[in-house]
Amino acid sequence: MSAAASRRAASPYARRLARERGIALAELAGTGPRGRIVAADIPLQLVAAPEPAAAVPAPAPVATAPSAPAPVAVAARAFGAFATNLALGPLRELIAAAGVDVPLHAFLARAAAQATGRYAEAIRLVAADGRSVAVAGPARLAPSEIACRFEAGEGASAERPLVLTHLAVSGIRPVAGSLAPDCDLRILVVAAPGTETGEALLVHDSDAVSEAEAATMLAAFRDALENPLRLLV
Amino acid sequence: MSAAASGRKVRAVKSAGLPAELSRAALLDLYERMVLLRRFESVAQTACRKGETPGFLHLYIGEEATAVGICAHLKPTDWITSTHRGHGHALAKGMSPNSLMAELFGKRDGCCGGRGGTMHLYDRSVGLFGTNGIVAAGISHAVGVGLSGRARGREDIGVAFFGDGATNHGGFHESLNFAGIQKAPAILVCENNLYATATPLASATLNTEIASKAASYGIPGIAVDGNDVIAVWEVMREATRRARSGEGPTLIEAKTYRTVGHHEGDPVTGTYRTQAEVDEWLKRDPVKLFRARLTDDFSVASTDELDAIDARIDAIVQTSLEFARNSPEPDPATSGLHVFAEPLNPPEALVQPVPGATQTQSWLDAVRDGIAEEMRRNPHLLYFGEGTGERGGTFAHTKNLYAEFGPQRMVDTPISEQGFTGAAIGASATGTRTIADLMFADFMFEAAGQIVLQASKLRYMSNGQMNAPVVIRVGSGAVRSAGPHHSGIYHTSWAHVPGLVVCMPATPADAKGLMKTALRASDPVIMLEPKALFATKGEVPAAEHFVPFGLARIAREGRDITIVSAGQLVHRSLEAAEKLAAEGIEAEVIDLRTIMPLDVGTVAASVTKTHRLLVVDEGWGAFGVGAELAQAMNELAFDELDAPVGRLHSEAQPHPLAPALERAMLVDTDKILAAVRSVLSGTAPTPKHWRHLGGRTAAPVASSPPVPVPSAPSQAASASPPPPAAAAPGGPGEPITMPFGDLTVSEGTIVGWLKAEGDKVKAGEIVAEIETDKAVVEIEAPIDGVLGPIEQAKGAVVPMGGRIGSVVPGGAA
Repeated sequence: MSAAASRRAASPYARRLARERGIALAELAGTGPRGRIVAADIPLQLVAAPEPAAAVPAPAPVATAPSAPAPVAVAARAFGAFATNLALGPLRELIAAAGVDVPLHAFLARAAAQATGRYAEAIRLVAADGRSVAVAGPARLAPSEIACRFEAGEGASAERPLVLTHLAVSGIRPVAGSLAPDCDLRILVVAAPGTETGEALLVHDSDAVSEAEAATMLAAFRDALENPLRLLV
Repeated sequence: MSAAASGRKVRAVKSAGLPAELSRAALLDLYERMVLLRRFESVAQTACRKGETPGFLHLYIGEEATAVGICAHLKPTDWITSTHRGHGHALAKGMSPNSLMAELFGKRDGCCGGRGGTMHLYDRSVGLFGTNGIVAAGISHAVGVGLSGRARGREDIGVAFFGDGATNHGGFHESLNFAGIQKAPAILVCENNLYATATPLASATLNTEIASKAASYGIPGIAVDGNDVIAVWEVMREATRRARSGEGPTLIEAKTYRTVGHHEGDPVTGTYRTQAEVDEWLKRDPVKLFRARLTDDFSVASTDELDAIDARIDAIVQTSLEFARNSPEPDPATSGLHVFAEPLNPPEALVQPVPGATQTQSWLDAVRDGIAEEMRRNPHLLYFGEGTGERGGTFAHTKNLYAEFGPQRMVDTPISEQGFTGAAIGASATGTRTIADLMFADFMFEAAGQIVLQASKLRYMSNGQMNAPVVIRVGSGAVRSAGPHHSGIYHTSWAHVPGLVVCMPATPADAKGLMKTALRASDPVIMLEPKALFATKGEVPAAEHFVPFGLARIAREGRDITIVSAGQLVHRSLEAAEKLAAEGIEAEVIDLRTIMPLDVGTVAASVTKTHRLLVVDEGWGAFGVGAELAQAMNELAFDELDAPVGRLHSEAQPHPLAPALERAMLVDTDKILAAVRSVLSGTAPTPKHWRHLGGRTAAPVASSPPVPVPSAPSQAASASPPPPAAAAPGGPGEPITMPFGDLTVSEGTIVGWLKAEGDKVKAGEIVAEIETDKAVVEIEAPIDGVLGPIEQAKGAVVPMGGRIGSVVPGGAA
């Protein structure tokens, strides 16, 4: 019988990679124990053809400042953008359990700083009420401290800050966002008060931040919010 | 012939000698309560026979005078603990008949919302600390209640009801002894109804005079006719006065009889007693006796007046029956509520301050400081332990706390883990927090019933009314040949039990932070501190520091494999990771910090990055942390696994004394390295703990060398004793080593050498001095001979067991 042929041993991760890369396991030779196909056996076949809708397609030519009529001689920037859903339930529960009055945007800022690493030496936090404050070193600050500094309004001007914008509306999905000339990376969160879900859009300058890196950072941002105890340490 | 009845001392109260406090109103109140107990249970009995109550009932019929006479002296803020036969105690203490009947019916409006039922009745509003399904379990709770009241400067007392069967149980003896030595404001009431289920007292003990047992513990014991409510009332008056005035506990033996079967459905006589005996006792029915005295001896009421009381009670009981019948069934969706506090973490642990200054501290000092901070903040925090008071603890782990907080808060206990753990639970549930220090993790099993059956279930049984914020603190795990009874860790046994939090820190900072969180939390916490780490030092935040339950620490980041560990093996895992890094393999090491709750989210996130997982755990593997995490990855991260999850545990056997045997069973760095390589190659190491027939046992057995010395460095003289952990390269001659001291010392500094290289020395002669944190240790020559090369010079810091030089035998220089 051809039982062996019909059932190729493969690790779950290898199966997932093969599925994602559109490769049939039958075409591969396994190097794991007893011929098991492992991740290293799956070729790094970049899918050149039409990209599956893994994320919201990057809005290609969103010009810098559409309202500016005078053509300024600035080199055109290339943008990328990714969007994701956010499960805010765990974070809301944590904030309630902590019994302290720390606003959501402080946790979002901390998560964004944690997720974007070196791009968040400073963060420009734009709250739902429109106030905008720059905070230095947000990845090293507790959310409560970020909230304090935001309220104090200390504007630590910094080179190329990460911009985090919080919009408190519901039922709206962001699909494109502008990127100010002085920054390379921006996360826009749409989350109405008290809701358990939200939407996030990450916009990046493609020259400064690669697409792969940008996508990874947005995933990390989402994961951080879904495991919010991590935001405290 | 009813020998039991006729042989009893009956303390009849003459009508002339009726105590002044027993006014007409008071007497009628006693009567009314006794009637309530009787009529209520008669109705419950019928309902039980009809199958209206889920489960069966143990009825109190025939013993009413005892509960009523005792509880007449108690205030709602006093607490009673009770038995499986506790409806009478509950009603006598003031519980609403509606609430009680609904609970017997398992209905939503019962005192515990249908969670507890007959043997698990709790009512905080009237001071009912549980009827109890476990014989003798409530006695220590009442002692703790008394200590709790005293600690809070209140005159509330704890009263334990228990049967004659309990007096042969350790819970009785340990509690009486502890209550006595503490002069606890507690009263211990034995209802001697002659039979423990069906076992006659005389066939269970040679000393059937239960009151006389109090003498063993230096407290008063008094026997009383338990069917005479006035006699019970008088004895209790004196016991209450003693308890409230600080004179200490009293044992009361109320001699009584249940005129019904052990439980409803059990025959009245059974095989253990005669109808004649039952009939004899029925003549002395407490309700009938008291009714006759009210009308005939005291002339305080007419028959008609008493009939009117009876009728009123009948109506109340009938109402309770209708109430129970009409109460809704509990909502099945609520079945899982009240296992843990919601949220589990105290708010303080969820707000992390900005990282600030740190100080280098030893493990024990850091935890001790954390406890002291909490004791200063909370004056109602008590510490129970064996030698942890004036002596400062076996590991010097409570050093100076006694001086600061005194004997009433640093309570030195007898070696009776069940008794003082039960007292700690009782105290913690009634307004104080407690630490029960059981010294070694192995000893927790002496108190296992209290931890598993009482503390962990208290919140649930009581429908969230009560909780036991007690910290069980023990030194745990293997360290240097501590042997079969002092090396265990058992964390998974406790983590298996719903309602318990289990902490197993790996650093001084986490140990302090988790201890402080535990002392603010509201569930029982098992704090397992690895003894092997007591002598370690680390950076500890100088400011307030809490570590939340259920949040693992990423001890080292890596990309190729995730190693999950906890406690002392975190450090072995980190060592292995460093060795792997030299080969270009980057391992991520996760320190779980708490076993329950288990941070599977952090592990899954790491596996998403590394795609391989090895669990390294000090516990036994079967049904352990490795199995749990492997299944968690099946559920949470199956598509991320590029290799089977591996697990590495201590071998499934007791801990032997001999170092060579012990090393063979414990996890060490080399074993971790081998297991990592195995997982990286796509094969999980297979444990042999299942002992299943026909399994793959041949391979591991065959692969074991005849003399298992897996991690010993190569050594020429295999006959010599195995080298200590920190062995230096061997030279000729007999090694001179820094001796092992107690567990809290890890290293010493060489003060100086008293002999020079080449000097002749005799066995036992002092050759060097080493100073440790505790003392200066004199180092002797091991044999006659000539002092060889000095390997560690003056000023060198040497680990315990480390080699500092050698003596060459003979005199030939």
